[in-house]
Order: sequence, then structure tokens, then C-alpha cells
Amino acid sequence: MSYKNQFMAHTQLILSPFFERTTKLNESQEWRRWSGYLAATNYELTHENEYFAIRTKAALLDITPLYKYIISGSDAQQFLDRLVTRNIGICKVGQVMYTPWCDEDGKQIDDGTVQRLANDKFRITSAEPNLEWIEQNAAGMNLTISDDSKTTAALALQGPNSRAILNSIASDSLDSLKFFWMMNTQFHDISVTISRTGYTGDLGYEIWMDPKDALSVWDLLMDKGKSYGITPTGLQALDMARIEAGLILLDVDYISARHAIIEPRKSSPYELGLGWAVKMKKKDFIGKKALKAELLRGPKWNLVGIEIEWEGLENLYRDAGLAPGLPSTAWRTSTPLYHGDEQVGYATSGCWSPILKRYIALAHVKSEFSQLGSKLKFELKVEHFRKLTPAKVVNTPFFDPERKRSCPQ
Amino acid sequence: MVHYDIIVVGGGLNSLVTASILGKSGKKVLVLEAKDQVGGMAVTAEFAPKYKCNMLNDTVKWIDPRVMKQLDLVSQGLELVSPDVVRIALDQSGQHILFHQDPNQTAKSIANHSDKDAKAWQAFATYIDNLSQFLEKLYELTPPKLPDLGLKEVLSLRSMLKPIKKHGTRGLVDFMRVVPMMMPELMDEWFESELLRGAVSTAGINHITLGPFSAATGYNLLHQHVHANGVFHHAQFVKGGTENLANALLRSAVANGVEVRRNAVVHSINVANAVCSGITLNDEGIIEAKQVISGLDPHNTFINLVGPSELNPTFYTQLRNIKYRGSVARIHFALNGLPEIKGVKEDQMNTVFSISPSIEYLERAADDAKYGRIAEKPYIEFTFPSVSNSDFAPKRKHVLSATLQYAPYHLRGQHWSDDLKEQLRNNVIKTLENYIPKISSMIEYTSVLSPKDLEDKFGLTEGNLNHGEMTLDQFFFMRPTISSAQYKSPIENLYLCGPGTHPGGGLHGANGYNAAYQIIK
Repeated sequence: MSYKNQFMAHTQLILSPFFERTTKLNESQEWRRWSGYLAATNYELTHENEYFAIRTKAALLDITPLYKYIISGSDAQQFLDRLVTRNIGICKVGQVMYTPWCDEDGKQIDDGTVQRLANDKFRITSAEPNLEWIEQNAAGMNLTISDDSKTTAALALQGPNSRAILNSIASDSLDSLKFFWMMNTQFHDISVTISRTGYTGDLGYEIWMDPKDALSVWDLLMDKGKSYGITPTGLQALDMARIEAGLILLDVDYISARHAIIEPRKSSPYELGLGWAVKMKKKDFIGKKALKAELLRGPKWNLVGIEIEWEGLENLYRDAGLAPGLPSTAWRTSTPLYHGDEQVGYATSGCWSPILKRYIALAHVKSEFSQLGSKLKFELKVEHFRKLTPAKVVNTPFFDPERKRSCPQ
Repeated sequence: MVHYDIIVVGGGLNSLVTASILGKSGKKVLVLEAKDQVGGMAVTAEFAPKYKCNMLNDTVKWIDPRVMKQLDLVSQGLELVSPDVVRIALDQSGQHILFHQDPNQTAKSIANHSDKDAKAWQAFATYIDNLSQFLEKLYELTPPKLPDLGLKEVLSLRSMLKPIKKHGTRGLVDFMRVVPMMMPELMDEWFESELLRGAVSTAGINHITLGPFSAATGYNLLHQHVHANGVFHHAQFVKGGTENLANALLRSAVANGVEVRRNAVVHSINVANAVCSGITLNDEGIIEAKQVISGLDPHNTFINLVGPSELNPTFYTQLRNIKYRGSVARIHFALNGLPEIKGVKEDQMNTVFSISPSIEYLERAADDAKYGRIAEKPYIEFTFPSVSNSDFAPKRKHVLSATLQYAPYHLRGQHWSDDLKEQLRNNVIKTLENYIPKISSMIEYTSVLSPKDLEDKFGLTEGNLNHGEMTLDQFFFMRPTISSAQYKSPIENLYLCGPGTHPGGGLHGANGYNAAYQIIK
């Protein structure tokens, strides 16, 4: 039995240009707030089919709520090189770079992607509003900054079938589009930009378009994608996929330096496992001095992947007379990690990975306990009582299929 | 190529003080002045054919005694003249209050308005003198770096407590009470005469944008009376014009081996990776130095010459939040004779006159500025510099130089224009006419300097003569910003020595002196 969607509530939240479609598809009517938008938690009553769409078919996600800024002008590249930690000078037109950015104490403010749209034109995406920070640091430079958050709509098409779906629609083949590159193409008469990026760690693309074309693009994808198993997907499934991919989330795995109310809540890119994205050889950038000093003395913390070992967990539940209890969705509660009697870290998000059949989490661990294979104990509540169960530091991404970056297929 | 230890950007008073002291200590110092004349705000120049004036300051309130002594300015030709009558607060009916060097004489003059006030005068002058001594000690210090105060820094602040020995903790309490006060509250404790209350309050609003009803005008009043030797409204004239103060400093600097280049416009202060390496001149290219010291205000130094992209974001925000908002204008009149002021003797014309009939009058003038208008009835302070300097005007002719408040830099709904300057001139003449009825017929030529002109011609951001408002939130360890109050900046090898630093504005040279010793240290 199903009911006709008569969702008529007045809301102060922003409705995405895809809302007309997504609201009709959302059988669960479960929504979350994402950057002021109404965003689907699940479309079906549980997220499982959506999760498997990401890993085995193709998942379609409305990612319009991302904050987006266009930086253009002759100083645009110089400015971004000052703002972010990666070397934007080597980012070619059509290339995309994932990068964190920091305050002057080298503490991370946000992370996102920088797309080089033209020699003097970039789009930067972020989890939180960054316009003020961008404008403040662009003073005196020859560039213009525009908030592109509402002027560009975006979809993510993620999963093994995503390339085939796009190839069946786009006027250009995506076969040679490399990981973290982008291209302009047409969906019939609609111009879109497709980047081979995503937040799932799978083969996947993000499609950037004019909001006025949003519904047409959605309809095309849903229509052509039907035989490939395209599935509108919500944030709950995405959360599991991004944990499997070892991708951190602002305000969950770390707190922006701009609104951490105490110093220990701030993290540097080194402490977040993003040291690879800090380019010490480039000219001065915001936070460089502090990061250099931190690099010399070594970061205090490390963000690592941990695996909660099955046997210990099973034993604890068995002792309580229960079958092993596992989270059905991703959790975001800070959970202590011990070494001996000492708490040496905390996990910030985790999930049971259905595809890996492993219980995994992302965790902040004191550097001396963060090396690969390091044995830790994970706090677990079994039948109302706190227990400790063995966990170990493992490599991330937990799930890293070859198709993610293979090119051509 | 010559290698310099130090380049000083700007050739104002503090720049010359710093340069001279550093030269004396054996450093190779180069001073770069954009104009053809050093001296910054102590400039004397022709404003009309054959008429000269002190462009910005007719008097010197105080000069740091350490500067006088260290650089021996007297032997460099500096002559300061302090008239017996340091100020006359004009009264429309001719019952002016004359502020003498001798407080008893002042009291006599006050007695025409109030016996009670006359009796209180001596005590008031002593009270202000005592409290100013707390500032004197504070002004010799380099502010501590807050909030991370080390023991060494705490100990270096000991001398601040010296005045307590003399004046007791009562003195300290009074100091801490008066500093944040506003003028009417202070006056309520002492005086009843409207004219006296207004005349005293002018010290609290000197060169700031706030009116006398603003908190912490008490601080500005004390600031004007540092090293005043107990003379309220202390005023010293530099013989030959204010520029001779700069000339004496210049001679001292040159004698100490300092190289001074005029017409040398600095295009940029060169910074890479937060380290300063020198400067680039408009015409001659790069000059390197181990250290660069700027006598310019923080805005010009960092935002215009270093450039925002070399500043860390916090420091940049702090710099942008410095209040400048000047509201002082200068008017120079070339007069065809020396006007008569009813009740003022001819030998008393070499003083400072003030039109400040009541605190309310001053506040109303400030109200206009608050709403972005020029004051219709401005507070005017004026002198006849040609009385003591005969070369300032042709024979029997004279110059009237006026400082007026309030003429805000930021206007509502309009920008500074010739029309507005004309209107300002008319407002001044109308106000002067109440005391010098024939003034308008005596004027041969007028020169008006609006705050915008002060910015354009003297490099004063928003026309602020103090390189930043003299308010408590921009005082001591917060001047110019909390991260740069030790004459240093977050940029290595780049220092500040101008009035934008502690202890603020005025032709005293204390900033330059403190800055020099931060570098020698």
C-alpha cells in the first residue's frame, strides 16, 4: 500500500531545484538539514538498497547544498595558493584538486575541491560557508568572488554503472575522463560539466549544471539509468560509503578552527591524515609557518582507520547471551579508544561495512599509538554496560576498488 | 651598492627621532621622505603668496624629555617659547578666561565667572598634574605582550608603580577613575562656570572625533598634560615655526650619520614569507636593509605598502578595525592686519584662543560629526603665528590659523568637495564673528584643509592626526593592535615608530624613542 505524497509543510529550509522530484520519490519522508537545505535521509524505508546502489549499481544524490564559490581574475590562482595548502599552480585547466585550508595557526578550517574552470577561473566547494574568509583574504588582489552556491545545481552519480549511464546520455564519451578531472559536455541540448569526483570512494561523477536545467537532467538520468539500476540515494547510505572510503566529514570527524571554542578541538591537516595535501615547497600560504613547525616536531594526533575485531565483539555479546550486535547505520558518537588503561584516542564515526563485512571506524589517535597494526581497545556498550573490545589500526581507504581511478575502463 | 642596517619609511618627527638614536648607536640608517620637506605633521609652509603657516600644529603640548636630552635638541637649535598666557577661552561679552602659567593668575581670571571655581582651580591643576604623572611613566614603557605575559615583562612594568610612592594608592585610584571618565562628570566634581567647564573640556576632545560626553575623554585630557609641569593647557610655540622642531631633529639625525633622502616615494615594503627584506622606491627600485621601520600609520604601512596578501588574516582584521575617522580640519586666513579682540591686550595675542563657551556647545558640534555633517557651530582653536614670527606675513599683515572640530572624514550622503569646504569656511567665519566682528572684511586669502586633504597631502589615513583615535580600546598594549604593540609587527624585521603606536599622537617623539630602544635591545 502506498500513499500519494501530499507533503505541503511550510518550511524555512531551502528547497533544492531537484525537490519537485525528490519529494515525490522519498517514500520514507525522512529529511535532514544540510547547509540550510532539506536533504533526503533515505528515499526508501531503510537505506540498505541505496547503499548497495552505490557499491553495485548507480546511486543518484542531490548535492546542491554544497557551498560553491567562483574565484576569477588574474590573481585567482595566486589567491587560492595563499588560501589552501595544496599547490594550485600545478592544477591544470579541467583538473580538480581536493584540499584542506587552514587558519594562520595551521588549524583546519574546512576542506573541499578546487576546480580549475579556466586559466583564471576556479570553483571551490566547501562544507560550510566560507565567503567571509575568502573575501577577507583576497583583499588587495585582482579578482572577483561570487557565491555560486545557489547559481549552480549539482548531482552525484556514484557507483559501478555511473559511467555507462552518462555515456548513454552525454554527447561526449566519458571513457577517457581521469579521476579528479572534469569535462564540459551536453545532455541533448543542456550544457553540463561533469567531474570524476565524489564522496563514496567508488567510480563516480558529479554533474554541475544551471539550476534551470535541474529537473530535465534529473529526468534524463532517471530515465536512461533505469536499466542500470539507478537509485535515488540519501545521506544515510552516503555516510556509510564515505566512511568505507576513509573520507572525513566536517563537524563529525573534525571541528572547523573557526568555531572550535577551545584550542584542543582544533586539528591541523597533519592531525587529520591530510599531510599529503600540505605542500611545504610552495610560497607562503595561510598557516604555513605553524604547519612547518608542527611538521618538525611531529603532529600530536593522527586520524586513522580502525577495525573492531570480530572475535572480541562476538565474545562480549555471547557472554551477555546475545547474538553480536552491530550498528545498522553509520554512527557519529565520539567513542573512547584505550591502550592498556590509558585513553589514547576516540573514534568519531563508524559503521558495519556490508560490503567488507568488517566493523570499521575513523578515529583520532595519539601519534605514538597510531601506527599501522597498533592494538587498541574500543569502548562498546553491551546490554547497558560499558566493555572494551580489541581494535587495531588499519589502512584507509577501507574500501578502495580499482574502478575508482581506473582509466580508461 | 650601500648596505643599510635600517631603513626608516617616512620623515616625520618620530621617524627622525628613531633614526637619530639608531644612527647614534652605530647603525647605518636611511630615512626616506616622500615630500621635499621632512617633519611630517610639523611642517611650516607658504599657504598664500608671502603668508606662511604651521600646516597642522601651531603649538607643541609636550616633548618627551628623554628625546630632548638624548638628542640634545636645544643645541641643535630648538627654541621653545611658552607665553605667560597659554590660552584664552573667549567669552562673547569679553569676560575671557585667561589660562596663565601661574595658576593663581588663572584663578583670578576665573573669579570673574565664579568665586567657587576660582578657589578650586589650584587644586584642580595639581590634581591633573599628579594624574598625568602616571601616564608619564607608562609612556616610557614598551607595552607588554598580552595575553601571554611573562615574568620578565611583568617586572619591566614596575616603573609604572613609581607615582604611587609619591601620590599613594589614592592617586592610582583617582587615575583609574579619571581615565575612563567623560568631561561633564569630571567637571561636575570641580566647576560650575559654563565657560570654564567648556574651556577645560577642550583638552579632552583635542584631535579626536568623540565629543566631551564620550567615555574616556578623561584619558585624552591627561594625555595633553603629560610633562606639562602643572600648567593646565600648557602650550609651547616653536620659534620660527613648528618646522624648526623637525629641523632640529634633522640636524641631530644627520650629525649621527643618518642619510636622509627627500622626494623618495616608497612604493612597497617588501615582504616574503612574513619576513621583511627592504623597500622598493617608486623611481629607483629596491633597497635592502636588515630592518625597516615605518613612521607611517598602520594602515599605510601594512595595508598599502606591505599589502594584504602578505598579512596573516587575524592581523589584517585587526588592522582594518583600527579606528581612524578623523574629524579635524585646518583653516588658515591671510589677514590684512591684526584683528582686535575685545578684552584681549595686544601683548596677549601670542597665545591660543579657544571658542568653547560650554560643554554642551562642544557636544553639539560633535553631534554633527556623529551624523556625518560638518559642525554648524564648530569648536575652534586658533592662533596668530605671525605675532611671534614676523616672517609669516608681510609687514602689518597677519595669519590666523584655526583648528576646528568637527568636520568628519566620513560624511553622510556626500563627499568632501570645494563647496563643502566653502561651507565649512563660512561656518568658521560666522563663529569667529561673534568674537572678532570685523574678521570677514580682513580676510585676503583662505586655505582650508579638510580631513580628506589631510589624508591626501599628509598621508594621514582618514585624516586622523593621531594615526588612530586616542580611545581606551586603542591604548597601551592595544595600540595599534594587540598583536603589534611592542613596536614590532608579526612581520619579522618590520617595525613601527609613528603615533599609531604607544603612547599615541602629538609632537612628542616618545613613540620614536621607545621604538628605537626596542631595536637596539
